[in-house]
Amino acid sequence: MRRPCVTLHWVALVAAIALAPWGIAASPYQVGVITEAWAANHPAVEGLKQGLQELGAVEGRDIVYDVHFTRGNPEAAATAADTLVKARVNLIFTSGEAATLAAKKATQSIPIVFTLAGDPVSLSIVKTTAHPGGNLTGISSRTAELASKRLEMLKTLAPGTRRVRYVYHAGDVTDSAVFGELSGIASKLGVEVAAKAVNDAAQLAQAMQEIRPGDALFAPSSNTLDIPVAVHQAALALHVPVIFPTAIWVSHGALASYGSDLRAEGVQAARLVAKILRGAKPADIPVEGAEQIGLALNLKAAALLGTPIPRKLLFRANAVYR
Amino acid sequence: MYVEDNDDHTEGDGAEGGAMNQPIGASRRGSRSLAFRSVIVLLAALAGTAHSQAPVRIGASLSQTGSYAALGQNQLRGYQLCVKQANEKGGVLGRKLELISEDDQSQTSVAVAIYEKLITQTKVDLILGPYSSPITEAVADVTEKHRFPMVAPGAAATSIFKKGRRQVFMVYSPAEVYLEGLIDLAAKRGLKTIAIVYEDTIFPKAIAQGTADLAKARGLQVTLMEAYAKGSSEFGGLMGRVRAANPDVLAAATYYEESMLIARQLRELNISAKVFGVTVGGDLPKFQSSLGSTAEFVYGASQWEGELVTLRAGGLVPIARQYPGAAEFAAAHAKEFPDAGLSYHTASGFSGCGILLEAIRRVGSLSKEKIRDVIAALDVPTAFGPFKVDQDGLQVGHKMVLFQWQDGRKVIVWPEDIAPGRPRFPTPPWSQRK
Repeated sequence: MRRPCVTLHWVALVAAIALAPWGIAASPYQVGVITEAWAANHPAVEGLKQGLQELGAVEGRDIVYDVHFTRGNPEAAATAADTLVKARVNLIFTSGEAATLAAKKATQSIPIVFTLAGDPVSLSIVKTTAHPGGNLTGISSRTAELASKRLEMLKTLAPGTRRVRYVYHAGDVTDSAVFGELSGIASKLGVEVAAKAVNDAAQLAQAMQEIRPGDALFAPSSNTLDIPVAVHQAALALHVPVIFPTAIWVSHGALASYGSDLRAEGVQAARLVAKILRGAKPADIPVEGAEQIGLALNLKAAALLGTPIPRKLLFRANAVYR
Repeated sequence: MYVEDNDDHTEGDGAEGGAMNQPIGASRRGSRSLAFRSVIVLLAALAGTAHSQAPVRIGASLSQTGSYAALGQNQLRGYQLCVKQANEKGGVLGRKLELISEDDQSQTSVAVAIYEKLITQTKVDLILGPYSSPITEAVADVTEKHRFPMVAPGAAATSIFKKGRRQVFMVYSPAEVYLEGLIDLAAKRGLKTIAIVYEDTIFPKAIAQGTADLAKARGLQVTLMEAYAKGSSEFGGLMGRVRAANPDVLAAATYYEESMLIARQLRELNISAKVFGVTVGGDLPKFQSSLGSTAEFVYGASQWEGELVTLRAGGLVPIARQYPGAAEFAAAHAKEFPDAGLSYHTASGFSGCGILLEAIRRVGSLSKEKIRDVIAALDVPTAFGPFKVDQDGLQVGHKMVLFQWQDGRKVIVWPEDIAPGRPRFPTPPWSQRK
């Protein structure tokens, strides 16, 4: 049942591309977007639009976006994916693990370009990063791979830390893998990683209540249950050090982040989207690692914590907020 | 304390030794002295109680009639809510607050007389600023002369704060950056030319000059920059010159009435710009209700929107903590003034008053000089947004937003990192609109 559908879709897409390069399309490409954010302006989505614009695609004329934001709710991601498949969009762009898994489940024919996927092979999103196979390719945030380095930086920023709290959604594969990475290095850094996998808001609230003075916080990458916000607010309220996987939190008061830049991932993914809309198959396009990995620091947050930032980290920082 | 000190001194004079060595007579004198002292202490206590019950009186003039009436009334509602909420929590320094406000009829001379009277005759303890830059400019000389610190929640003209005054403090973002979002949006979309029209008074003039500077810095050519007189009601000639300039962007540094009139005349004269933005008044619900479909696509600058408390930067990070108490303020406004639209003028008035009260609390007295120093050094988030002034009293902490009327609703479209909506661009010609 699926094979003719796949063939038909690709025939239609390739024909559309052959007839309509940027600027003279009879009708714009329909790009569906699923993001786990609380509004349509997630940096990865904005990056996608920016990247395609830089590649010559004019929004409205060449591309129309149908953005679905799911407020950290995996069920909403599934609904959004079904809606986009029914709308027969030309391509689905996802940001986040839950959105990507939902899109993968909803279609094996419509091309999917993912971002903010921590480890796409572990997630079974692709077979290998070099040869994805299937209808998905995208950008790996290298979340788990960078977790050890992130913990090391947190310890450097707050050398007195003995216990690091790590609260994550139990259903998130990448954040679960991160715990494995942290466990492997914690003793070398002289810290205990107190991890808690939570399934619902009540468990999250309980986990937040367990934070004590002297603790430091390690934020997860997934937005499910809005855990990063809970961590952010706890760090501000309790005056404890925190590190995030991405810089947007640091620009709003968090102490530090180390990881991929969300907007840059979107820009990077735009190249893959353009290739696919011009006829390439996702199966043949290798998954790329995030190109922009950076350290962000917030000096005001450090001052409030009474934590002087070591000079070596300051020199290394890609972004410093004052 | 004075009574106690005096009595101790008397006792020391009447006896060489301690109480055990005192003669009877001396003891009698001591008894009378004790009774006398008790009466004095009681009277002093009563006087103290009466004093603590006297309200802290805060004076202000706000336009209730005249061209600034709509916005002056909004600011007054902010003051009233602030005082009401503070009184419900016990006031400040253990005393209730009393707001004494008078109508300046949107006239600078009337406002000057009101502040002079409030300070010298009514003898208010402290004052708050009036609405509008021209009136603030005028009364700032009065408050400066009497050394009354003035939080000015209704003034955004930078020039007010560049005259060496020590007592006046800005709450709004300065006029010069009002249309920063409009220029950013236009530049990013490759627009090349801009026409700027403005009321020939201090605040719109500052907006116009700041907008022109921002536009030039972003590579836009200013093809027309022309003022109109305050109170103008006919813009046909000016709009004709706008048509001749044929700009990509039309920026109108206006107050409420003129923003409506200009929008109407653009339609009547079939003048279309790819981007058309107004400043003051364009944010009011009645701008949309009066203009209907003519308001669609119009951009407006706003100092504050109630929606800010629910927004997230990048769709991820809630920004509500930059506006503490804003949600409660909006709820209280809806309850207290159910028929009044919530505008940034009200939020600014509410927070401007709150800044004054915070300074009083930190000082612990009504010392105007100390209150002045505390306000000058404050760096705090308020329901209106961050408050921080530079050495001139110029606001440097607060940020503007840009909205666009879309389907009868104000949709925040800038700054991009917090904007939940995207601009509908370009604005279609009138012939293609409903």
